[in-house]
Amino acid sequence: MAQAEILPGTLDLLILKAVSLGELHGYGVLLRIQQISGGALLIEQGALYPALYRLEHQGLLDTEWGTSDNNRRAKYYRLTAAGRKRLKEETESWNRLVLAMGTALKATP
Amino acid sequence: MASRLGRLWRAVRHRSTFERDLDDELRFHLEARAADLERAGLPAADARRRARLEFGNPEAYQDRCRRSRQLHLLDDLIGDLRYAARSLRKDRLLSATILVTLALGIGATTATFSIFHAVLLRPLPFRDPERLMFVSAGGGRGDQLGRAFAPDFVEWRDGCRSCEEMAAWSGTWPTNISGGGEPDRVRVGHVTDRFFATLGFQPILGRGLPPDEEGRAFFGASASNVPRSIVLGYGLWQRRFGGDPGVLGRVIDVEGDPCTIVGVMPAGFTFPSEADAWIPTALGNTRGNAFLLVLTRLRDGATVAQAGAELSAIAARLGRTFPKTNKDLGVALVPLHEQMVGQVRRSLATLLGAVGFVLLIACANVASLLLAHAATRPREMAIRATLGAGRMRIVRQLLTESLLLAIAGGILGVLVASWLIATLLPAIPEAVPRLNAVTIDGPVLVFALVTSIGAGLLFGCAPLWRMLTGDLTSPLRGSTTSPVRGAARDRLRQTLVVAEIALALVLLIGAGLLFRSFVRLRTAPLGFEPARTLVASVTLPEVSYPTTADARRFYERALGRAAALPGVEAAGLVNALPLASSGARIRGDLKVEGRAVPEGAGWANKLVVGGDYFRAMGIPLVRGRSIDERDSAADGIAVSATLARRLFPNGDAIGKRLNIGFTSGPWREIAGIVGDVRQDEISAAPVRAVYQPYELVTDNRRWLLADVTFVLRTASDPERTIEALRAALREIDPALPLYDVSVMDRVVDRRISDPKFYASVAGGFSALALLLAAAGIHGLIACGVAQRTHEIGIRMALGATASGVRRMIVGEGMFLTSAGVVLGLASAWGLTRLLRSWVYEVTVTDPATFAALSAAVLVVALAACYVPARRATGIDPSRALRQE
Repeated sequence: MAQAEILPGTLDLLILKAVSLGELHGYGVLLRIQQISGGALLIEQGALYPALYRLEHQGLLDTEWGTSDNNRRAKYYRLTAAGRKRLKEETESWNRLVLAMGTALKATP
Repeated sequence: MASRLGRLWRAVRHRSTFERDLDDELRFHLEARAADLERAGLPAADARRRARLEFGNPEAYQDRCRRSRQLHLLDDLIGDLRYAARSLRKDRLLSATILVTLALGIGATTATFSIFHAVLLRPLPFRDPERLMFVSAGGGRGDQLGRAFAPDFVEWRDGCRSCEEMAAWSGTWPTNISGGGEPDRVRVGHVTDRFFATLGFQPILGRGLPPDEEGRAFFGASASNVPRSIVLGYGLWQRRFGGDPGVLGRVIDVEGDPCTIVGVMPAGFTFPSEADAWIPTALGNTRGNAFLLVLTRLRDGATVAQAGAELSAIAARLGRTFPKTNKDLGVALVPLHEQMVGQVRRSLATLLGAVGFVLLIACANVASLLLAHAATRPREMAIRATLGAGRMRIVRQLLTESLLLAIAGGILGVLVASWLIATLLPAIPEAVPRLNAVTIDGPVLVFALVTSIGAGLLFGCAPLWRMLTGDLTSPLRGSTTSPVRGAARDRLRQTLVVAEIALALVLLIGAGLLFRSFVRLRTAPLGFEPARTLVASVTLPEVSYPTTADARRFYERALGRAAALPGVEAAGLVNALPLASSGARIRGDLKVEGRAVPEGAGWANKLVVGGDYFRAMGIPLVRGRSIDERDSAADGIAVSATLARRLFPNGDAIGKRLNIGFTSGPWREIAGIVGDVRQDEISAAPVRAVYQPYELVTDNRRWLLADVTFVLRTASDPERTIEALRAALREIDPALPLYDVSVMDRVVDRRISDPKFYASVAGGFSALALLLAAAGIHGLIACGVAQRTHEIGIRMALGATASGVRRMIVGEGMFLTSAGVVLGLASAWGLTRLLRSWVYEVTVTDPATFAALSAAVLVVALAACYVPARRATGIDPSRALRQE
């Protein structure tokens, strides 16, 4: 299946979405995004972390150290109330954009 | 915002945890990915390699993680500091000059502030000191507290509802004590029973003074066989009794009277006037002398206005009841702190302002140096700008440099300040209270830090301004130095130098006025001749000299022996030495026989003299005969010239008779008129005085003879006569200590030590200011010459003479100096009025001072400009032209 590079600025939205489905560690976020996008999105793995740190710094994510499935110490991310609100706003604005782009691109002369 | 700052703060604080966690998290990712890949069938080594490949460059991502936390700011700061330190190290001479300048400026400021802080800002060491008030009878005159009649004090104390406590004291007197060791001379405060409680202190041993005990009267004797009470100060208790807790109940001799020790006060309590011990003061019930200073503690919640109103009502009632003594005698409340430091507040605030000028000049100098420094590195800045450093980044870099310098200068400044305090403190006049509290403590350090940072921001503005108004990258496009726009034509630096000259001139004029005033005081006509005069005091104990006759016999023998000592030209005695801080101060109205004296005309100082007092003190006899000729049968007294004129305008004073007693006494004939003497103050006009020989003191006035000072005029060095005088008096009474032994020159000097101190500190500040300003103008001109080598070379090649070039360069400097002088003169004209109450017989716009100091500034600036100008003419034109 062909993979698409994600658009600039959409990584944050994807992370928020992934984390909204349940508490995840960094690697788990990557797996979850691949899973929910059906593996269609290509993510630079390292780029995930500056984004996670930024979202945490903005107060959209909460973190906690826990234990992973294979008994390793891992840092878990969870959506905060502010994060949930942001996700909702960003999703709506994304949908509007997609709709507008779709309409625009369907136009014929 | 706040939570974000909080997170940043946590991130900064937990920096090492942050780094470890970041490492752990990324490693976990890589390992988990590798494990997944391995499970999918890759060999372990390939899986790890693949995981790393997929992840990208971990270093770069870590750095971006830090940036998302804004931790890079800290890294940048450390980088900036390193860079700044390197750049300052590179130009050691410049950095050293800047640091010395700042250390002097900040040091002088911090030292002055530490005095200001200790004296004015720190609370008094009493409980709730803001509720302590002096009760000043009659409202007081000027800075003096009004003293109260004892019965008035009792009325106030019992009648004031807003006053929680009220106490009084009559003074702190040097006193002989014996018992429990060698005889000693200590300072004993004469206080009322609630004195300690009013100030909020409790004895650490025993109790305070008992109520209603009749103590030693301020004047005269009250023979009582019951021992009275004394409370010891901590220092005296330690020194004399080794801190023995069993000291209570012991009886010691105080001026020959037995006193029982009833208490010991805690360490540090020495109020009033550094007292070593306290005894009860006798109140008495007459309104003869107002001798009490009254202190009250306001009740919690009571206002000053309430207490003032209650006391004024009582005073008004007393005025109606006792019109003779109390008519229109008001009362005023003065906060204790205000009274203790009010007089010096303005002096110290003015000094602080003066030293602030010095600091401003130092800042201007540093700013100018930094501008010169920046001028030598435009390429560096340009390269940084071209390489992509943002404007803000360069601003931050420059500010970091300035602040680094400022704080380093501040640290050196604190060292300078502690040295100054150690050196200056002993020279500070006794009139400044609470000096023992001067130290460099927390608040002073905070002041030094804030001052340093403020100074750093101030002088840091100059290079910033230059950078922000200029084009950063232009130096890369053109040549490094333009031959036309040298540093000497640098407007900003010129302005700074003009300001420096102006500030320095203002300080110099201020100091000059104080100095002239000091010289005037020094040379003021005292009315006596202080040179070669030995003075020494005795106090005759009541036990061994109970009557006036005993005292008279002692003085007669003592004067006889003193006059016969080798090298003594004249020997006399007086009960109140001119310009001394101690001694009786008795003033009152005189009566003239046979007629009424106009109101106030008979008001005079009343002194008792003996022997050849006038000759010994060098007071000229104006008319009549000297009462020194000791013929008591003639009843002769002397009056001062002004008193004679005032009482007898027709000039017929000799032979008239006066009554100088407090109530009534025998009539005494005026035998002579002597010159006016500045008895109390050098800066005040002479007080009218009447002198009566000790032989004429009546029997019920023994107290007039209790404390006297011997005055010996010697042929050469008065100090050499001290031992001979001591020995002579010991032969008459071996138990009598001689104290306050001094020479009259020193007594006078102590009176002018305040003006001398302020004049010398202001002089020091202004000398420093002038030095800095001279360095400033020298730096500017020298820098200009260095940068204009090329131009000067061309001029000389074109035939300019050396003197022409010198004139041109010096001319530029003198133009700036003249601008500074004009500005300084104008500012001084406005500012010196602050000194009006400080100066004696000098107008604060004294043209001579203004002119002389302007000339001084011009001469110093001329010298500072001439040095680089000479260097300029040493330039070899051919070399200069090749320099490009």
